[in-house]
Amino acid sequence: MSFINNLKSFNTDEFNYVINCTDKGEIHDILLKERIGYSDFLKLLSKEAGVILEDLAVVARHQTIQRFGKIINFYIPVYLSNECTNNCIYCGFNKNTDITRKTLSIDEIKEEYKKLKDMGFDNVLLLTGESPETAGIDYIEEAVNLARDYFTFIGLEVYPMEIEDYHRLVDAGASGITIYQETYDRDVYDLMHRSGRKKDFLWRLNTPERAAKAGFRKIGMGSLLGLSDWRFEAAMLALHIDYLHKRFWREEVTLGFPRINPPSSDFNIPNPVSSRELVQMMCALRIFLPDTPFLLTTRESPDLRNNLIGLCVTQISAGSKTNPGGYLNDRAGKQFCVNDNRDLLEMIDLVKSKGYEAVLKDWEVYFTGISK
Amino acid sequence: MSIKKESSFHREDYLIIGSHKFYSRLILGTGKFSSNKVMSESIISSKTEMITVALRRVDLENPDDDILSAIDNNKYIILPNTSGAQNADEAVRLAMIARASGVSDWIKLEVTPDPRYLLPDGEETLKASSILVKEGFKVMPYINADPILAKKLEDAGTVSVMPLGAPIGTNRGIKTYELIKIIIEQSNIPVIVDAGLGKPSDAAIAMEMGADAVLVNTAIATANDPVLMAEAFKNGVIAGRMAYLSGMAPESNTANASSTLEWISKL
Repeated sequence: MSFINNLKSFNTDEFNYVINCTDKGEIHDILLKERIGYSDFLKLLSKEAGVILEDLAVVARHQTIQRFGKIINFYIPVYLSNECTNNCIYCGFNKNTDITRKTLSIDEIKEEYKKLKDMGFDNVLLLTGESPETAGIDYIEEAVNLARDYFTFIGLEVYPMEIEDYHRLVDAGASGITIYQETYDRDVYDLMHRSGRKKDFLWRLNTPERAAKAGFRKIGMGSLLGLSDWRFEAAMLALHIDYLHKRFWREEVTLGFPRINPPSSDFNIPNPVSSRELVQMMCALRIFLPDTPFLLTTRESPDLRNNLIGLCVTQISAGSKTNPGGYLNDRAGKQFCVNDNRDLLEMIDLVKSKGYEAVLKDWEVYFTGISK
Repeated sequence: MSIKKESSFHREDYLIIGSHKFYSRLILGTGKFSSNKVMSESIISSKTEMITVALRRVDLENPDDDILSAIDNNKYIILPNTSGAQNADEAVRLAMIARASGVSDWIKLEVTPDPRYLLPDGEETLKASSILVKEGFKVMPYINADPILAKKLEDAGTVSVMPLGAPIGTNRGIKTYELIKIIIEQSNIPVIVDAGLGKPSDAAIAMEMGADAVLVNTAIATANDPVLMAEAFKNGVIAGRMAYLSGMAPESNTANASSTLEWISKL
């Protein structure tokens, strides 16, 4: 059994009806409920719900504060390598793109870690492209091992692997894994991913499940917003998360909301998502998933980030560089453009000025993988 | 226990947990405050004497760690908790390292393998409690409102049991009323209602039932005015405690309680 069955049995006609025909009264009734089911959630994605977005926001904000408190956690991405064998037309690491390629050496990794540790970070997200030859499992395992000397929480955003390989990374000390589906729209997926291992839609779709079986404690999910219809992506994400919750009750799913920010202007975003639509998506998902941590990257502008901190986001990055060696001022190619260049200290001040506590450490090295 | 039920409410009413005497019956959680300043002021206005701190948020290698340095450990008992631990092994390791770093030999044991509702795992909690009691810790386990588990933990030597009123952070009040009543009736160690108390009246109900203390975090930390809410909870706890000590009339009998039945004594 796989999530693909749920995906296939999703009734698009019914969904479109809900999106177009839900009325305000229904939405207000839903907002009065303590917990909502999936059919109510779909109504929060409706066009009419978008009209009364502030009413959704009030509930989303309340639920976030009640569950998480007035707390913002910080993390920092570390790009270990930008080498990649995939041809994904929206991505800066596309194998056909002419950028300076780089995979950090062990010494460079240590230097980056040290620099980030000195800045105050305690939660890192290690990233690579998909290049098993140059930045494969042994390399990533070594990077995780090294990170344990500096950070309490180690998350990964690397290419999809088999359970056994993931297991090695969990044993090495990685607690989190992020695998964005990019899009649940199979046709669009096919168009966007022209070649390489990533072209296999099902292989990617089943990755969160393999990661859960391998014992990662946190599993990051998300769609790359701008590829397909955001309402469909939100509906699929909620369905996918619900599927995982019921099968892997010990694992915590987290959600990211990356909007496409291509490093070059050659790429035309097929279905641009406005800030208002992004906020509706976040609010609806928050109300459906009150316990799920929401992450926010530096892809978004300072203004929007400032506002989202007080809405439903629980974890943010600050001062991110999206190229390997970026914190040591290396010039290797970036994955995407950053819109918010404020550093950690500035962001801590901002968080505090909004009446929130900035938290750098929220994990223990003694928390190990989930034994199966 | 040292409660004098016949006495009026004054300094004589105190609570002993692990041979330490407490005059406040409100324990404060620190997890959700918007700043250390608001937390410190709430601590003062709550008149609490015991404060729980998540070890996962503490940097034990850095003595200037924010949360710990914001709390005066001469004035308050710091009760480190193992929030985030998914099994007995993780919780035990955390407790050990906290004690080795000089934080405390008190431990609020939280073993919550489910990251969504954060419900406690009774089996693993019992296992960890047995180990930590033998290691000399004063163990205060967070549990479901399970009377049998409460007795097993007491037998294992924990200094209290902390049954939940409702899942953490829900502010739903005492949804486990009937079971907590049984735990209180059967317990020889303090029963502290932990989690789910959403308003001072919930705390008052717990105390009226005969709970020895309550622990509150979310309802205070996420109020618009946490400092005022901390004081309100303090008063709720005192009111409930006074009502308990005063020997409340049972609800159903109040209608005819004053009718004259003196003739019975003359029979």
